[in-house]
Amino acid sequence: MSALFTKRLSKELVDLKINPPSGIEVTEADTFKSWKLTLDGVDGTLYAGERFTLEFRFSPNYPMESPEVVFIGDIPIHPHIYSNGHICLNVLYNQWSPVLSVRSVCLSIQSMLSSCTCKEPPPDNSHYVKTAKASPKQTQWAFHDDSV
Amino acid sequence: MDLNSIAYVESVNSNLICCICQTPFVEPVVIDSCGHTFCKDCITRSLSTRSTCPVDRSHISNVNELKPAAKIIVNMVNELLVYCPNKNDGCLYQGQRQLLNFHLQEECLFTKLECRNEECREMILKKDLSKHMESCIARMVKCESCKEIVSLSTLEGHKITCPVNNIECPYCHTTRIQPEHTLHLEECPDKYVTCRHAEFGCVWKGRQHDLSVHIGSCSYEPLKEFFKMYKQRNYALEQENQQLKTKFQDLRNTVDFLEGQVSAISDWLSTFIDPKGLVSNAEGEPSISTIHELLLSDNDRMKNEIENLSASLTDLELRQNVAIMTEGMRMQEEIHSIKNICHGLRMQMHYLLMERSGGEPSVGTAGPKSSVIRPGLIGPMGLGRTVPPNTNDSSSASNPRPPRLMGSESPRKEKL
Repeated sequence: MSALFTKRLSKELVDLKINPPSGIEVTEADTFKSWKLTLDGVDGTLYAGERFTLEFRFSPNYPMESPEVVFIGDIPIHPHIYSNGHICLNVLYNQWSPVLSVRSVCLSIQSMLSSCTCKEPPPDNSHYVKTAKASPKQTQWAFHDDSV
Repeated sequence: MDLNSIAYVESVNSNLICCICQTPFVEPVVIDSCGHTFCKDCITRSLSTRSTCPVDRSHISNVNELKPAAKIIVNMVNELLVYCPNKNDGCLYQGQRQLLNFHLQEECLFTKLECRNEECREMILKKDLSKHMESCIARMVKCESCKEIVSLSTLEGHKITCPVNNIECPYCHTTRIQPEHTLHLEECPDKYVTCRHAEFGCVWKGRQHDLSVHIGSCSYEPLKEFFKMYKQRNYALEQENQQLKTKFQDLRNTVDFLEGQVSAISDWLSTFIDPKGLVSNAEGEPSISTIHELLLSDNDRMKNEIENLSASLTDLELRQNVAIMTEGMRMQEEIHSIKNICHGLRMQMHYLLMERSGGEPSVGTAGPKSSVIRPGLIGPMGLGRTVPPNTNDSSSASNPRPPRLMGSESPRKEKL
């Protein structure tokens, strides 16, 4: 199991470094436990010129289980991103599939930011931030917005 | 062999890559309902967490929906060229993926095998294993003393405990290995020793560890320095004595040699002196001068004798010469007279012959005949040389002489 986990992650890392998607860069990947990547706001969107940092935390069951993905540092203001960094995105939770990867998750988040029309926090942000656990995977997410 | 972690020689067509592990399919299976292909392991694991196709999330009711992928897919992934997993150790093999197992089991010299020595168990490349087995620190070796088989790493320890190498001390009955034993024999506190001053007369005997106590009370101890000095002097004297002995022996040898020489000389001399003389001079050396004198007188005597002999020899020689000379003269005279007689006879014969032929002139020649005889008679008183003038007197007589007589006389004429 762990053979698949490390093998798969090292392959992904090589791929991200050799052939990085635009606006996405690996900044820290010393272990197979957690990586840090930067995400640039795409030009022509509300987040143009901004740079955010994403943290991926992998379990040894990856890629059968989804990684924990949160924003750290400057959190983008977005209707589906809570101010503690948690992201409300179905592919990170119940819609995860082993065929998905770090690259595809990053592209999904980038596209989620790009499609935003109004920079505002989620409506229940203050309540969620108070009650949420450290891991977003322990949250019972309700996905309702199919527009992003 | 985990085919998921091998390296491929060429980049693989993305259609042959499993979306889950992102490496070329290993035992590819296809989901019957949606037609997506995965490695058998990958999809089995994925379905255990979620019963949907990882690609299109279509529901999969049971595992039986998985079917082996088409033969062509299986062949394509099996024939992919791969490197040997031991490439980093130096194996240069590359070949079809399906042949890799055979290569690793039979051919590859870079496979790591476990050292067969129990205490080692090190992983060694197949090619180096036999060399390693020879030099492995855990290899089994035979103890040279007790012939027991032990591993090399424990050999040193074994040597200490080896029963053959352990020797019991006869004094304190403890055991130790040979090299320590010899040392211990000297130091063993239970060893029986005599007092340090035993050579000077102390009769104490006891165990080594009691010696120091005894030394404290030994009455010889205070005299230690004196004994030391005494011993040194004794030693010096012994040395000197030894030297003298050698010198004496040398001298004795010389004397023996000289004596031998003297006896040889006297033996030799005794052959020149009669036994009586030697007996009378039996005192030794005085006899030599007597012998010398005797020799000298003998010598003188011999000299005189030789002189006498030579004198008589000369005398005899003279006499002999005179006798020979007299004899010679006599013979000469005789020859002369015979010659004259012969001449007379010839003349007579000549006369007779002439007379027979009847010639008068031959009478005149009778005179010379007698004159010839006369000097021949007188001749013996003088030298033979007086003969030729006589013959010259008879001028007629010389001519009729036979030529052979003339020949014998001619040398004499030339000398004149």
